[in-house]
Amino acid sequence: MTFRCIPSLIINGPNFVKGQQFKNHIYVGDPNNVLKIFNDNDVHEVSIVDPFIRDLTKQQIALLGKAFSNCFLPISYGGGVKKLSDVRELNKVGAEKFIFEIENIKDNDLTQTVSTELGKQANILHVPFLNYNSGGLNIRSSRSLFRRSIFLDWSYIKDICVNFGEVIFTDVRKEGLRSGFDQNALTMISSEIIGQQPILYQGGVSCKTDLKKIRNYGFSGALVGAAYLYSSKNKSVNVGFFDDDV
Amino acid sequence: MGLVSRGATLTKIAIIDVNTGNSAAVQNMLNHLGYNATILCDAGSREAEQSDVVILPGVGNFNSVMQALEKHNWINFLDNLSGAQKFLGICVGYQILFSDSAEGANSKGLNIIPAKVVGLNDVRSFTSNIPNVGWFEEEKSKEKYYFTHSYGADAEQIEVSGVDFDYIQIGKSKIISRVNKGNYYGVQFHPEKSGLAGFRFFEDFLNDI
Repeated sequence: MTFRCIPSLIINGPNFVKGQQFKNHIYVGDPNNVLKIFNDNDVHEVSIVDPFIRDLTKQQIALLGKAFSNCFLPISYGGGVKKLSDVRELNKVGAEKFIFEIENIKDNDLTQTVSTELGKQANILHVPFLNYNSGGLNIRSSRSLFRRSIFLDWSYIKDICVNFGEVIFTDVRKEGLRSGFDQNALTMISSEIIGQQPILYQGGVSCKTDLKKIRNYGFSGALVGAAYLYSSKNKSVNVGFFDDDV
Repeated sequence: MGLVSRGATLTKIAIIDVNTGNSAAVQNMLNHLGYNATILCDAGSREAEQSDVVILPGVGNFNSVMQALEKHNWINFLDNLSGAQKFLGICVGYQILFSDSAEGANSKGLNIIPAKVVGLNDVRSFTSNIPNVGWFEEEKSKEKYYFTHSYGADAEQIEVSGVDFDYIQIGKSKIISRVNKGNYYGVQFHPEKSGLAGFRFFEDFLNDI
């Protein structure tokens, strides 16, 4: 099996943006152009998340559909997906996997409905963590104005993971920095979670060697943002792609 | 991205859309190859009857797809394809060619392929992640395609039933990746999501018509 190297893209309205630690986002490109470039590079798949959107509109779905029409690869989408009709509309325009935040899963039966209609593989769980210990993970919370994080123990996380086709663990501290990854975090996730469904990692990837190491921890793939979007030596946008073939 | 086939504009392609698949993605890829594919919900149309190729894309649950096909009169249509018509099932659209599936209760298929679709954990020696997601190389064609599935057919079953097939090897297990019996074709992978390999797949498949 090929270790999947997945461009991770953040969309805000009609633009792709990129920040650091999910803050201070700046424009990095037009979705039509960026997806076409990744498609022409024959990447393994793409992941698109909209953390800014409240509800998906017909206009936004049409915009996404236009961009997806340039991309003949697996596409996962997260953000604003609240109803089965959102999933159906996005599926019709080319997305086949849907990303749900772990903090919104409790009492959410949408993922169960999606699983029944499209299969478990259509559901992806996103676990953005701020730090960790032997008991569990501190999850970044965007829902509460007063609490920056919520603590979830490993058994709770494991119980939720089994209902999803794939799980993405994102190290928020490393996101967008291209500074490498926290080996202890990967060791912890690897020992606690890996074994059932495909597990993906995101945060800090800077080069092929990082990808190879992540693969060696037992992960099925890695999401890569900044290192693909700023692939030139300076900090200007230059979309590129590399995989773990070292 | 390949040349448009000479017969591309003449080939009539119908894509079944019963709200269970990513029909637009398949249509989009075929359009890029120069084919004009029509998305159809119901089997009772003239376009369905006159089509050279019928494609059933699949992202879904075996039972849901069979029920939706029944509701829109496709079961009878697919059971009685004319000699010149080709059927291509993708993912769950491929799995319905089998006699039945372990996905859900009373999951009877079209029985074109006399074998059973099983949960991947029931495929002999299967020890990998479920769902099985990613890019795998077919043993015979040597092409890499994108797979995402929790159910499939064990190649050890098929070998006794005289059906043309290819497979992927995961550890010691062999999972069917494509089958052909008469004018029925099916692929477990998603050619419409397999980039350049997907374009090559559709070009080869449709050039044979």
